[in-house]
Amino acid sequence: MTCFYAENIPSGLLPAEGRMVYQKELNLLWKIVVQIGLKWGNVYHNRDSPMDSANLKSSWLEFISAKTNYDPSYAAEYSSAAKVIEELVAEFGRETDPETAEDELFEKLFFDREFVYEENVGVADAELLLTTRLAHAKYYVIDEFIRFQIVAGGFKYFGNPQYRGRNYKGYIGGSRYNRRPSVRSYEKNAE
Amino acid sequence: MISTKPYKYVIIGSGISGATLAKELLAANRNEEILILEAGPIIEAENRRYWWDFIVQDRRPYDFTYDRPDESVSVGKTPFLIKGSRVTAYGGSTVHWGGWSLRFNPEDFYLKSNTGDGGDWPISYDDLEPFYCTAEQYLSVCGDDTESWNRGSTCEGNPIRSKPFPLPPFEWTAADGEMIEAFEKHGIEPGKMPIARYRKCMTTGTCKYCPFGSRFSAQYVLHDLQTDSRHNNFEVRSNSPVVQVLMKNKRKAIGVEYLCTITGDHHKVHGDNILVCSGAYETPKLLLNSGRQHSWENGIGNDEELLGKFVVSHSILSVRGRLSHNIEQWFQEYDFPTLMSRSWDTEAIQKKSNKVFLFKNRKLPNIDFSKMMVMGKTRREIEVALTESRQSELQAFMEEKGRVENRLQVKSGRNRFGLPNMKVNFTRPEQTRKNGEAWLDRMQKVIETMGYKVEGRKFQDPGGHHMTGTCRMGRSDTEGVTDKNLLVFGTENIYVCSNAVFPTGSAVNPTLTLAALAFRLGYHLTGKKAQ
Repeated sequence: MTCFYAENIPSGLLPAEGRMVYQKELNLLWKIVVQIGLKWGNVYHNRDSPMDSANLKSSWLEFISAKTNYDPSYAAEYSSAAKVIEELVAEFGRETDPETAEDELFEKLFFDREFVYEENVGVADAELLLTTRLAHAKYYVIDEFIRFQIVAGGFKYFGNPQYRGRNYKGYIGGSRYNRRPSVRSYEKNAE
Repeated sequence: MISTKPYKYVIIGSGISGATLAKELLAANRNEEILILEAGPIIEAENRRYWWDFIVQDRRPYDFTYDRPDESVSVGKTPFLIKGSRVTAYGGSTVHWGGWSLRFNPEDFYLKSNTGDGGDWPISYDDLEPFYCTAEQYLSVCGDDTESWNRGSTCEGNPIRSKPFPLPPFEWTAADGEMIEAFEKHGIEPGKMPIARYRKCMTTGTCKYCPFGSRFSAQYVLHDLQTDSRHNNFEVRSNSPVVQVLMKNKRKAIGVEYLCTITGDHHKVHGDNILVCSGAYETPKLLLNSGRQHSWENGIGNDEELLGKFVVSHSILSVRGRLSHNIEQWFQEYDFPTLMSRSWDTEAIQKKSNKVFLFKNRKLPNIDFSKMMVMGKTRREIEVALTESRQSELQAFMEEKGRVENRLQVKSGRNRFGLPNMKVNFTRPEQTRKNGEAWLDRMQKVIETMGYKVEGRKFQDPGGHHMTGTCRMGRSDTEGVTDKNLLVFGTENIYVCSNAVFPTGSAVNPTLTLAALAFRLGYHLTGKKAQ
């Protein structure tokens, strides 16, 4: 029997047909965002705040709401992706160490395109690329969560903290009349 | 049969000029009977889903309205870029514009007198100056009064600016610094881009679809007018392309015929005054297709066959360079340029060449973090890409001069919005090409002064983003299609208020000037006096 994640499906967005995203599915999907922050290390943290991306969650929930309450709804893609992740974590747990299964799975999902797209990995045409539920999960869910994470604040945490950016396309930097400038400003002769 | 409800004004088009005129007319008389007919659909502004799709899929909700190749074609020797130059929707092209709001210079009103080419406006900068002030207030333009081109006087002895900018300018970004310093070494005065900010900007870097409604859009004006309970006789109908202006006789229009693209039905409405505010493409097409039953053999206002001719565009020049490091980790933070200069946009240059308006490409330097993450790049790989090099680009709009042979014509068939298909025949003169190359040489020196290695330079094909001239103003009907008050020559109640009436295109964006003209026409129609 074909695994759920390997099931062949058409490339287009899965029809949601009034479906909702359940809390259990949201919990699984939130793990993707947390893992993005962990794998790329681009999330706010300090001595007192772990790298749990908690500061992004309310924005993320608003994003999910926008993607599921308006047409075309992503609810079916989110449900499918949650099940794909659940199934793969269980499979990785059987094959390796259940303690590290989740970590290893996301390592594959984020950095091993052959694992996701198999023999279609070099194909540019989405029609040919998105043939399985796993491919759908990567393209419609994980990739969009990556873009969300970057604009929600992840862009700030690459490179040297001394040169940290203040704004990015999609980030809400705030009013330019705030005391702290919303972008990095030019200062003549500044070094 | 024509509908029995008469309108004092039928406004064709719901972009900045149509919305501004409606606002002025209703300010003078809240009960004024006004109908706006918009060919395109309503695309919701400030929609969070649209905004998120813009961010994660780079898809904008109005892209589908852009011209398709089968609807609008370029047929001249120089390819003319049409796709993406306008939005056919409620609110017009302000739905997608960047908000750059610059005044034309005084010499832009006397191009033909100064150079022998192009056209002259039948009004002067001084005639329009009070309305520029009104338009800047209306659009909430943020600008810098201290720049040299904002000071001084016109040849009539009036101040270039009789009022300051309503809001202070957006300051330069850190990434602008090296170009600012290069400008100064080349005697180019660095300036701050005047930007229309209708409401409080929250720095989302997504001006092309602002989730807060901060960038001015005619949609907001129309919403406010429609929801004002005092405006009992004001109506906007979308999906309603006007197919012809209806005439009683050669001089007097009595209304318009439009198509409802939802039902496929044709309707006629009565109007005492017809205000054609449908942009530089649609205005000439509508007039060309109207009036033939009433002695306008070549279309309304076209006995001298000037309609659709003198197409003026802006050509974009660009020089891009790369620096072998990006230690400062610069990337794009605003979605509009903050650095610009009008040092090469002067009368002296106009007389010798084509003027240019310089600005730094807002999108560079930049890095697409998420694209690399999607492709599976590690943090280390991304940080190397972030810091190993950066690009910068100096861009310019180059002024062009209207030529009678550059024209827009109706093509058979109608597009998805019920508007006539069209073809644009444009040829760029050889001297313009040479002037453009000379400017590119000078721009390249700026990039090299910054320490960048030049990677490429481009003199882009002309495009329709800022097209003007197709229904131009003139002192008489042998010079233009409309008079100085935008009344179509030979008619008594048809006015045109769009970029089409500009005899010249200047080197800067036309929207502020169009807004000023709309206010001026509104004052004219209501008898209000400018301050």
